[in-house]
Amino acid sequence: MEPDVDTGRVDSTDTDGGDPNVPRGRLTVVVRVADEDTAMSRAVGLDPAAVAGVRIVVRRVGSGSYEQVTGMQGMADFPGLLYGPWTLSATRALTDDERHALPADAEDVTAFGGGATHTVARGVDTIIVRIRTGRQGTVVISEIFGYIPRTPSGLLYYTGHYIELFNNGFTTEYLDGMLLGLTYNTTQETQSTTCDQAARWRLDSLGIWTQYVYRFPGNGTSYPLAPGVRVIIATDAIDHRAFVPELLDLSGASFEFLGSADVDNPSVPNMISVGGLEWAQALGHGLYVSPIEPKFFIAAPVSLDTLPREVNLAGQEHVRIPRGAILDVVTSRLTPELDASSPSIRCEQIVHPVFDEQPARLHDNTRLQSLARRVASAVVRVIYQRTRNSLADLETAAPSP
Amino acid sequence: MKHPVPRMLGMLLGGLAVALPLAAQQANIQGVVRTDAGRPVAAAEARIEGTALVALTDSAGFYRLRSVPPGPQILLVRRIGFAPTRLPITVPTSGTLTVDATLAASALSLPDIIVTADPISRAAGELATASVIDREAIAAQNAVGIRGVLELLPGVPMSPPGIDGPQQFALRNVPSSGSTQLTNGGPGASDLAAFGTQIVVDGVPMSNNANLQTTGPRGEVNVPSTAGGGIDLRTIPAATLERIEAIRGVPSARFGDLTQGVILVETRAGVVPPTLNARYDPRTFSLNAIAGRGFGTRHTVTGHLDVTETRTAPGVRNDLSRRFTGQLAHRATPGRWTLDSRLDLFRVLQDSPERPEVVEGRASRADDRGVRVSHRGRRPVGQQATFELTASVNHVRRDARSQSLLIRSALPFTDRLEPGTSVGKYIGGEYLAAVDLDGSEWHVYTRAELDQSFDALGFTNRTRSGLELRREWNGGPGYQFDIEFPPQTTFNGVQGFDRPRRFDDVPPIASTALYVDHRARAGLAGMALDVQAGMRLDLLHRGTAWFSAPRDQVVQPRVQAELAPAGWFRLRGGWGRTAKMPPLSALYPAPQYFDVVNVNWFTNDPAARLAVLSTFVDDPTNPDLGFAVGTKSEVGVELASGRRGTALAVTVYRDRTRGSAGLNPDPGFLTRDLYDFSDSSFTGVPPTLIEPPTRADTVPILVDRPANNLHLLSEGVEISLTLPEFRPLNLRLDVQGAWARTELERDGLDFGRVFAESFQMNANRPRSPYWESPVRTGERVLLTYRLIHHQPELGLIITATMQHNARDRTQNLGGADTLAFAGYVTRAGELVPVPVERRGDPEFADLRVARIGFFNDPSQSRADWMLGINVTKTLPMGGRLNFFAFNALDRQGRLAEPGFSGRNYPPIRYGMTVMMPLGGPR
Repeated sequence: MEPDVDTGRVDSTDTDGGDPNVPRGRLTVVVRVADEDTAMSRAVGLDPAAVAGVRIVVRRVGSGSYEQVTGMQGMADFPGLLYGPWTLSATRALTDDERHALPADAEDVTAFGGGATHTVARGVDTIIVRIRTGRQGTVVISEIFGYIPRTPSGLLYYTGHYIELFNNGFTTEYLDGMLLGLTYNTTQETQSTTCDQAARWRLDSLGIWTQYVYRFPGNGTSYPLAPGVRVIIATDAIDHRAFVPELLDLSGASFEFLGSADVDNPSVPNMISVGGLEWAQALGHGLYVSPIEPKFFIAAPVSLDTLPREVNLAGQEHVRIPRGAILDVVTSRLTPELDASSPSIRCEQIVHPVFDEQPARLHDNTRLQSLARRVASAVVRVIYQRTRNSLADLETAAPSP
Repeated sequence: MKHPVPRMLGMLLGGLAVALPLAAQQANIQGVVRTDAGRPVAAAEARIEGTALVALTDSAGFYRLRSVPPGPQILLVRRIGFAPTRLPITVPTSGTLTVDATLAASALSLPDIIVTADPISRAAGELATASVIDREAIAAQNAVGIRGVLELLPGVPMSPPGIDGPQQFALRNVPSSGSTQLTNGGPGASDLAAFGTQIVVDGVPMSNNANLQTTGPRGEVNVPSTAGGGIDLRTIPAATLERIEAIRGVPSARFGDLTQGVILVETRAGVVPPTLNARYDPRTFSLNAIAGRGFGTRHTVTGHLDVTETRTAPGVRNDLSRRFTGQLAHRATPGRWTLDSRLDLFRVLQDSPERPEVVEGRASRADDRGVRVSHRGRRPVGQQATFELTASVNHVRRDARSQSLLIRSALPFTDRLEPGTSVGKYIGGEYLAAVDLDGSEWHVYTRAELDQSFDALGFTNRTRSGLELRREWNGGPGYQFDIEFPPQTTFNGVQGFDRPRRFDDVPPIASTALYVDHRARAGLAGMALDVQAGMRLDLLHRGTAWFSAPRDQVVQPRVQAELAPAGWFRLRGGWGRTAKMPPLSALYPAPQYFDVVNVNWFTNDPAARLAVLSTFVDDPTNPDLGFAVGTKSEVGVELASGRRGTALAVTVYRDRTRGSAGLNPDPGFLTRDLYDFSDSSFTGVPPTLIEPPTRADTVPILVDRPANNLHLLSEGVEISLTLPEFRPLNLRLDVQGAWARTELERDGLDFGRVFAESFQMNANRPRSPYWESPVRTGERVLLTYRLIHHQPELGLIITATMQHNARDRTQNLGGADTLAFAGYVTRAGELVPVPVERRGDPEFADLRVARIGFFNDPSQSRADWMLGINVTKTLPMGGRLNFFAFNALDRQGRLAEPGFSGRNYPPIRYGMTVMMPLGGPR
């Protein structure tokens, strides 16, 4: 299969791949099922040692993306890749027939997914990607809108953001008391902390360490969320078009964050800050999407008083939301093009892979677009893909409200 | 009239002398002054610098100075029409030393020209460590303003020439780690040190005490200004400078309102041949002219004009700074009086016009205009005393405007100016915020001084005693803006919006000072002893006039001593107390406004919205605010081999200033009323409030109250080394090194960002931690090597200056871990300390939070260097051509590395200066 976009114009004058002086390599991707999910794959008729029909997308800054589907040997071949770091995502959505073949306790498995990063530096290279089952879950983060428009004068407007939640499950869930927060905030090298030093909190498989977390209001049954229904949590639940015409009317949001220099829409309930800190109080408008790295989690109601707390090397206290309470995690970095121009040293993982295998590389706050979860199925109702791999699960889309 | 106090002090010191087996042992100096062509020069003045010892040459060019104190001295020989020459000499304890001198029309033709700061000389009448920079060194430095000339002092970094931004200067100080959070928006270490560096121009102290030209810590639309720091040195052009004496050590009691030291500036006056100077580099153009002539035997008039313009970024922006200065100096000698009058005018315009194609709306303009009239009259009193009266009025009009487009999301807002509750509005979106600062400063200064010299008990004595009066105030429309479009966005309702403030509502400050200073010198068995001691009393008055009672007073004893066991060897030491009055902005701070939101009802229907806000106004004036008090101490050693020889000076100093005016966050609380509504439809109309409010909560606040809470420590070592000329190559090496360390400490508490971010508006949080304020430190090692190649026969001097930044480091010292908190503040503003041993207890778990924004990792740069080149050559007709290249090798600096921050040197700048006499008296 030929590359579907861009053939490397940014990296080289070798636009057709025919220049023998430009170093290129061949990458062979072998897809296998992770050990813990081999039984599940056999149940649906997939060979765990060689998974066929897996959609593989590789992407490198300046080179666009290339897509292949694995053949019967579970392999996909990418010839002519420029030397350098590539990201790979692997997704194998299950058909309805395959899902019917799953055991009863696995009815929410919708796909297998996985991902990796790999540096092409040789003529011929092979990498093994292990995929895991993706369960559709219950309440998931279905969309993040973090557009930061510039006014005609060049000023930045931060507060027209929202996060969308969606009940991906089969039963009504109650948002009351649920927690919405940011995963561990230090994900790049700082003067005080290296990535390795921060790994203790950033990559803890037992939970998500956070200092920015908000609780949904309600008394337990105030805010039901039926299956297939979505809610919008806005930074400011107002009509932002009054300030930046291209922005959105969020006055009908379901919830809003409230800061100290903020307007309060009386018809929209306010999120309650329960973390060590409130996000970006300097703006006085509550939580908004990080310009460089969206990374959110949603968790079932849990009493923070009972949870472990630790202070990181920067002296910041964090609380750990236990793994069992985490309902969904979504992370993304800037697009590779934007990230390449940043001098910061990014840590490889934002959270432990049990929560999110790989961050997406899609965030671009200069574009009027959202990070949206891919749809896995829309036959009866929308079911979002949730392989716990943002690299595979997210795509960019027009904002939904 | 007899002055008993100085007499008594003189007697005291005389009595001390009696206890010492000393006797006046002094030598004579004589010689012949000739032109560079060998002809004798009559009526030339030969003077021992820093003393009253002076002699005139006769028709054969012969002079004789009697009773010259032993030790290293500077012989200054000058005559109208010739460049002055300064000769370092070592005076024996007895006998006669012969020193011939040569005068030339251009000093470049003199073999002994000094183009650097003299490391071992003294300011006139002062014993403290000083750097003396005379006219030749000033000319060779090729500076646009005095700031560039002061780079000849140890430890001062080189900077490109120009007047593109406000310039202030601090003696013996390096910047500390910087964060307005850590000083609560008050001045930093550099500002305090510059504020405490006294600049005295032609005998009149300059002052920045009444400069209110700032938008404060909340301002986002700022104006260029040195408010809160030292005076803006752009107003003093280099071309008008005759001599600079930078007293880095303990100044005599004659000098007050300072903590760091004194810079004495003497501008050119007297009979001066008409001279034109033109200067050009790609960014800065300067043209100045000076001329002075005599009218009869009793009057001389000197005029000086300077026009300078710097374009900050030609081709990119149209920003410019333009300076105009004019000076008229008049000397009259009616009878026994010598009357010096000066009229100084300046205008400094800094303009950054809008460039919509780059950034829409952003523009600023600062237009400072000043006029100073000063008179000094001196009259002999008897045979050995002089009475001097100085009076000066200095007026500066500062008119600045700055504007910028700002954006904010929707928020409730009130424009209320008085305390109370009212219906507000919702604002938001993009708007043009503009602020005008229009201040009118006045400084009145008067000094009466009696200067007596006498020999007694084997000592040569000099006593100076005086009275100083100062009055300073500001006026004008002040800090003005359209209240609906405030020039600040980084605020919230609790921290308040600033409101406009007129400056003419600010009362004047008046101060009085009395001083006596005595200096005694004697020699014994080849040794020389020089002692200077004084006492000064500064009074800051409670009222606005000098007869009102003092609100604060500081007695300032000062003493310096110097012992020269041999003519080439001097040991020195000094200690003294100093005092600096607080600025007008701290004595009379602006009221602080707090707006709390009672009702925040932002419906989709604009007609149904309702914002109710309560405005609280706090006057943060601190009636107990008083002087900052400093203690300066230093010890030093100097080795000098005499004329054309090696000179080495090493000084160790420690300057500590306690109680400088800063801002102290004073916790308190506001009561916020909360309302119920009488209807619930809310369709098309706002809700109706039920009065009175049904409940209330408290909103903790911090009032920024001025206090004597900043403490500055500057310590370090200064080394100056002058090596003898290497004759075969006509090369001389001059080395200056300085290690300096600064500590800035603030009394009071640090409430951290957590106060505003998580506590203030969160009624669920009953308390918030506070910490002890951190100490901010800075450290620098700077080495400057000047290699000077001089060819007198060609009138050529080439100076290569290499500056080596051996160490640059700043660091905050303080606890950053979660057990570092010192206590907590309640929602009622009550402070509750928590003992160290209990901070880990479970009951304080909520206080063990991050100290956000505080870092105690050091910030440092790697060592690096840059080079400057100066080439000066005589021209026909007595002119001079100078070429300079700042950062001649265009070194860019270093990139940041792990653990090290980057260093950026300004790019290469080159240009030239032409000085051309236009004829006239020679």
